[in-house]
Amino acid sequence: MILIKTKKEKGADLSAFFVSTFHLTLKDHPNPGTSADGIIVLYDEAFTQKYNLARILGHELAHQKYLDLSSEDRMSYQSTTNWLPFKTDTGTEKYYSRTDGFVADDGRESPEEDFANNVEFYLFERGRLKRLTPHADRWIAEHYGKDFKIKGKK
Amino acid sequence: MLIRFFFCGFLLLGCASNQSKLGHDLELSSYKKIKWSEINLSNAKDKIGTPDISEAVGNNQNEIVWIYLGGTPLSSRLTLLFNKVDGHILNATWFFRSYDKKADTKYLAKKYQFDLTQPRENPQFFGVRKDYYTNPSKSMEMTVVKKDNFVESISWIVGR
Repeated sequence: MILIKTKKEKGADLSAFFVSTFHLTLKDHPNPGTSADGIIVLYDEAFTQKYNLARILGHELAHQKYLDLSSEDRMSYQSTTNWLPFKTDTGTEKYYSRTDGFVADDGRESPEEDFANNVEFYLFERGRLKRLTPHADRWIAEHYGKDFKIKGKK
Repeated sequence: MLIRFFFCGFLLLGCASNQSKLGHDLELSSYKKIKWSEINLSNAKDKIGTPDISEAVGNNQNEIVWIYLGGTPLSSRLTLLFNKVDGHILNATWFFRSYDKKADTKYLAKKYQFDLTQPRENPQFFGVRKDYYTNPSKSMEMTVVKKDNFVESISWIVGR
């Protein structure tokens, strides 16, 4: 397993640096990676031939990107992709969302997961994003510009 | 299930012509005199208005959320959560926009007696980091995004 601390320096918030490396295989874990604000964890599975490491890293960094959005931009994304917030009796935040147009099923979980999936597909499988979630594709293109792409990717 | 607002694929481009105008007319000041504890599924339409979206939610679909759309970008402006069985209201939440003049932490703290010295942080490690402030009776809560100090919402927690 590799633990990555994401940098938050101005203009470099999608770069990252490794802070520690240790082996851990979570066989029952469905995901090759996970993240929280400031931290990305890549499990051993991420380094197998089963997965595209760059794509996994892109997805997890997109989670960080979502957390770094201004409240105004996050609201703009949620509105564009039909995530409507409401609160429960305990004050917990929930969302009423669209029922289709997801590039991956786990995107139904939350606007953050949906955003990470959409950025991942924008970078690695844009045709599917354009076909299934064109509004998200346009939002990402408008917000991150024409240079937002994987360098060296054909 | 009542869906007055036709919730198709995407709000802004797909359904703009079908949206209720009610959400756009909502003002936080309209609810100053509302006694939320007296609101229920039977009288909410008369006192608040018809929601754009009504949907069963909760673990056993035992609650109903009413969503009034409004503001720019178009999204939840006011949401009401009801107990589906007895019809009582559980939560009412007003969602601010960045241009709202009253979306100011100090102003709202003074107006609703939120204790700014004792915020409650996110219950979970994941997600956008926010602070939650309550009033002395714990019947109201203000949610503030830590990153940019944006007042996201204020809630009347009737079911607490």
